[in-house]
Amino acid sequence: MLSFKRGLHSTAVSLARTKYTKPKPKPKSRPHVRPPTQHTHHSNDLSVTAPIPPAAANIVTPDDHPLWQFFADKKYMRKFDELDNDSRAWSIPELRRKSFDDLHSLWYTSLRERNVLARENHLLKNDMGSNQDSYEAVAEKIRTSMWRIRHVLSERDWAFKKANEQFDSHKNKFLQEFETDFLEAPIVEDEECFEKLTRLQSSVFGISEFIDENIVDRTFVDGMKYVANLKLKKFASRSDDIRELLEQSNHSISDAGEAFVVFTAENSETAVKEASDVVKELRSKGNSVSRYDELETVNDYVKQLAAAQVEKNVVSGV
Amino acid sequence: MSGYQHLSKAGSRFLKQVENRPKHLVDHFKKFEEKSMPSFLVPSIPRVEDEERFKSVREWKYMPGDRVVVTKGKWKGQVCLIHQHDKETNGFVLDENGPTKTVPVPKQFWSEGQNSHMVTFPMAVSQNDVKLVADIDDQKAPGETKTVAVRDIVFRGSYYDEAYKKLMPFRCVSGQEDLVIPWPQPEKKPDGTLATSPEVAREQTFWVSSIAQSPIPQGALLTIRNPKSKFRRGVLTARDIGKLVAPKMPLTKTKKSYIAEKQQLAARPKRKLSDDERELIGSKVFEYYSQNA
Repeated sequence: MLSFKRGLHSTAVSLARTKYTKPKPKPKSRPHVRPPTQHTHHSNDLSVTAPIPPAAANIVTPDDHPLWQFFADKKYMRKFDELDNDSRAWSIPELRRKSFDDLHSLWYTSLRERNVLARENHLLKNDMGSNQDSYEAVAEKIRTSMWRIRHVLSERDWAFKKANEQFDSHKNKFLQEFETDFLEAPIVEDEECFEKLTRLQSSVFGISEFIDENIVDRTFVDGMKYVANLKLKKFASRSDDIRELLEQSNHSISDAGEAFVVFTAENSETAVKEASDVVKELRSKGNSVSRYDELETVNDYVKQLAAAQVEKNVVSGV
Repeated sequence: MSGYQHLSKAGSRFLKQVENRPKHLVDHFKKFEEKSMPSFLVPSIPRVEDEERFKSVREWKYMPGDRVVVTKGKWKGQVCLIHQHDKETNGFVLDENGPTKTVPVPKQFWSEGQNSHMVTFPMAVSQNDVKLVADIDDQKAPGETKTVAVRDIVFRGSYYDEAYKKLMPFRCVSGQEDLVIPWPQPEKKPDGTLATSPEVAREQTFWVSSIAQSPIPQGALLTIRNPKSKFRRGVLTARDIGKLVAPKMPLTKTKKSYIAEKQQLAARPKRKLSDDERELIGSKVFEYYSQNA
């Protein structure tokens, strides 16, 4: 058959299918036809329902919609007399008494309230074209509280840094004095002494009583050694084994592994004696921690100990 | 106005300039303002600038609830209660015994239940035109009090006032300072929604427990202050110095010409004595001394 790309005015007519042209053959029967994969209501229950009128009442906003945080009491705008015009900003001395967590939450409470006020103020100025400053006046008081929070925190940080600088020069003398008092205290006051030691390790070296709360750094390791030595010295006068160990190690142990064993021992003579036995065993095996690997090794020990404690708690809990 | 002024400071300097009217035209503008404003909006005493507005109790001297006597004008001698402070004019709005004015109000400003165009408004009175009225012990009749007007009051010391919830000064009579006139009791209001109860506010939750651990998390520090702040850097940049050092005073024309003349004179070649001239001077001196010797 000729293929006409262009035809004459009579081409379409001459090529049109008429009752005289030969019909196409029937398509082959398809026995395995896949049924439609989706069923819609069109396939069975197509019925006419009442139209839904477009109204605000038909739109349901969930109560926990995050944008509600920009509204006070779910109101479009509060009236001027609904605002809190009488309260004042937090003063700096008041904020100085509050912990970081308190200040942090106060900051975010203030921020949320300022967001609400900013939205209302924008509507008032932009939408209504008013020049009233009622929302801004309240927001300004909140802003004052907010810069004061930052001021107090900054002040706290400077105080901490300056105190650290000054304490560096007094630290050794202070620890020396503590050691003297600690070792001279009679046996009766043991419990009290060890409580003091716990407080000291947290205040000077930042070591928490709960092992898993600690972050291992140079201060932690130094503190651990100091505490371990104090423990050994305390019980040296009562047990020959411990005294022997101290004399062998020149009256202070400097190996981090050994210090860790003594540090984690209970505050009793038997426990410290057991610990000193373990130390001796370590020495006989030639186990020691290099000064350069101290932090890593102690970190591993602390993690292992914390894991062991968790496991123990789980077992006892069951 | 675009309605976005509160979001941006763009153009705010220009607006400030527009608002700062020249001093000699202030009264002129005020006159037109009063003429063009409807009478019910015109204050009875002049409005004050924002900076001159009273802020503290010491400035206001009298609080709502105080009794005062009007000392000037048509209402002179009337004893009234202060209703409220008029912050726009630093004046006092008094109760129904005080000065009022009856002015027409257009219908769109009518309040509910109003059926006349004429409305009576209280007029604000300035602080100079009122004196405080107080009841004091009568010395002539012991056990009784007498009502007096106080010429002036002074403030001495301060105390915490439960009703006002702040430090208030003692209000004493000028010239007789042992006579303290107490502040009026304000209406009791419940605490605002943003207020914190005093117990919670006073509770101490921050304790210094360790010198090894920072009181604030390290991650928070950058949001608290800028560690590279130029105010703590301790070093001035060239730009800073340029801003801090005043430019040199430009020279006047006379001074410039004087300096130019000086330079010109200094630039003239210096005369040098030649050998012959030296010889001549030497011989003259020698001659003089040899004659006198």
